[in-house]
Amino acid sequence: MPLLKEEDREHLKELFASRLQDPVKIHFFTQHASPLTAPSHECQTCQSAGELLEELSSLSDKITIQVHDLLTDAQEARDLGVDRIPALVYEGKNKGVLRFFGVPAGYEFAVVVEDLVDLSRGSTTLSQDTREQISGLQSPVHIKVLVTPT
Amino acid sequence: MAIESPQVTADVIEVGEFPQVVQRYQVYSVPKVVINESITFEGALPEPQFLGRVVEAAAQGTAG
Repeated sequence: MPLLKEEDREHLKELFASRLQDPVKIHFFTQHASPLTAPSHECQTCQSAGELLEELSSLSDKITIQVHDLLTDAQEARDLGVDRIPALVYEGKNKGVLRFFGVPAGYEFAVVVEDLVDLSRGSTTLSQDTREQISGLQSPVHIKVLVTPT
Repeated sequence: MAIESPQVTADVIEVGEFPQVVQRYQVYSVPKVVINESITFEGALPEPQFLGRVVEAAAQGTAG
């Protein structure tokens, strides 16, 4: 059963068709089964996240989802700094690292859509001053935004 | 900001799914922003103020 309503799908297809420029990839880290999880059963939110991402990628040829398993792709998870799932690591025209941990539901889904557009265009809506100061940063900054689904 | 700078890592964490994150950062209201594990603020800051905190965090990094 699709998670997105038909009118939302149509709206997003149009949005992506008009605003996406270059292809964007989302590395999706999930887990199929693990003896380490207690009690031992599949990560429920991983399933929701996976379904949502599948629907998202069906809305545009420029969006691809690469699925990774946290256990079998442990090295890649480490390389990308993924230590909890479900996790989305964006790959587009970003100079830094952009990730989402959890299911991007509600308002957060709208943020993902905006992020995909920005990533495919390599541009953001930040002011000129912000962009100058940000690109002039001399040391690493790790920003964590803690949210809840609306 | 992560799109614009190679120095920035931006994580959005849906804390309802990760209770250990709630405990670690003492999250009582959202959104809560944590920068370099040291500078924190709650609620949405206007862009210039947000930028100010980011720059402050980076400066602490180069100074420390």
